[in-house]
Amino acid sequence: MVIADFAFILVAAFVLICACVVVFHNKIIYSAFALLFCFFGVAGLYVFLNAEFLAGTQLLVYVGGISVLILFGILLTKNIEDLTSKEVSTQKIFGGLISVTFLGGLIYMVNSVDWKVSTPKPIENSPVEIGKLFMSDFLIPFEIAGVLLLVALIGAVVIGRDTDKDLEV
Amino acid sequence: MDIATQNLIFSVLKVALVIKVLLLGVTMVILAERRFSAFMQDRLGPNRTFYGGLGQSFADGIKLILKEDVIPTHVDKLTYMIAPIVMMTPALMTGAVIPFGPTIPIAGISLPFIGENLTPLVLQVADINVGLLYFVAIASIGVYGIVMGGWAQNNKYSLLGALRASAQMVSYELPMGLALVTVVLMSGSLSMNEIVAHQQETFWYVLNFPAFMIFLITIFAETNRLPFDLAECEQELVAGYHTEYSSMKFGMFLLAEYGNIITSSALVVTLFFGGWDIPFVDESALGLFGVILSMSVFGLKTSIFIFIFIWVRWSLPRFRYDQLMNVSWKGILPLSILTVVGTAVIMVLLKNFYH
Repeated sequence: MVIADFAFILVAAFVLICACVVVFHNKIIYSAFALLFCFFGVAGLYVFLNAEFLAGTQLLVYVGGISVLILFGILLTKNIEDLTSKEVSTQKIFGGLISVTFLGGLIYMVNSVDWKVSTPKPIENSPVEIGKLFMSDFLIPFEIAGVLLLVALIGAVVIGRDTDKDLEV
Repeated sequence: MDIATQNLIFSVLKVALVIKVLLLGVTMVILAERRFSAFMQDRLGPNRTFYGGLGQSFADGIKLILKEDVIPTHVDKLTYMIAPIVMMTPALMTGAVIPFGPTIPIAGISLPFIGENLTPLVLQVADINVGLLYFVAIASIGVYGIVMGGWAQNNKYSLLGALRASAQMVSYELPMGLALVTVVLMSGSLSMNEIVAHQQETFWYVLNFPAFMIFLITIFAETNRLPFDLAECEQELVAGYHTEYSSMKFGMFLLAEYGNIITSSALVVTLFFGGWDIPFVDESALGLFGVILSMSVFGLKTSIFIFIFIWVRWSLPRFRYDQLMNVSWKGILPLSILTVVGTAVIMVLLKNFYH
């Protein structure tokens, strides 16, 4: 499957470049936009792992929700979008040494571990299986998360409704 | 020819077809909107270019491409360039999961150039099993085009438009998700094909009327159309997030808006009006004629909803910003929670009828 390999390399490179922009760019808003594209690319990686449901959820939660909140924070904060963070590096030798050592350790780790390749065939209709697991093995975490989110949802409505009353009292 | 090559050929053909239909559809919808708004305001509208105005949108497109592409000096160039792309890509991507016709049973039949077919042809670009989730996810990306464009132009009006749009989309995504949950509850599947098939077997989901109304309202908000078009509200914000865009970049914002209208209408039809299903008719008995008939019926239903989009835009005034938020958080959201609970209760009561 040459096309799949090519697509994988494209997506992986996209994620890496975006991640680098997030870390290295001076302007905070560029970092935020790059983070958004990075989340998007990670969803693409999930698709390559045959985890379509996870990919959809990734898009919905991280791209559709969390990134909007980050952008909100940046755009609503006065003058922060023009702020450029200056690099302050006082201990170049020590810092460089630690970085290089850490990088070497990581490369050694990646090379020495015997990475296991998953052999079973991907599940045909994965959402159904995920639903069954939610309702059996992971029932309690699922229910707790569900109740928590519902409380947050209703709480938001209640807070929104109450503001007028508080002003009168 | 082996099965992978065949699938590749058919996929490319289907992608080309969907994009073509969307882009040509956009020109027609723009023309329809202009003619219809003219009718409602007792004017004539564009009626000269090529047989009663049919060529007007093409002429406008050529005009937009040929115009000078002005980039103001104070804008942030990179974001300014990317924003129209980010805006338009999701608008075209969402068409991928909408089934526009029944499966054609061509397995075993020999075709020119391709040879003997190995699989039946599904009339849907990507028959993924999380189609509904995909649609919601991609639709939520559309807001970033507005935010990037609004920020890049470096002026207050555009930024305000962008902020309004994102706040509006975040607040209307919740009720939309809950309305879709009722659809999933009824169909028991996230796959668009199965949702259509289930509606064929039982009933059109529009019978669950509250869910349909909530979804229709939220889809108006998601496409930024009146009465929810605060992002580009002319009286307050000049033109909102695309104030300083010119030539084809502006054209791309326009394409994205109308492309969203088409895909949203198709989605409403797929989720609540049985997709390509013709009521009381067994399409599979009619053979190839049935396929063509089903696709035409799907187009007709979609056109009706596009018409409703246009009709509402030229009939209703705009919400004020606080009213917009109140409607969402205090009105539609509690209603949609009630709808989910009510649907679940009724489904348990009617369990024997369903299965």
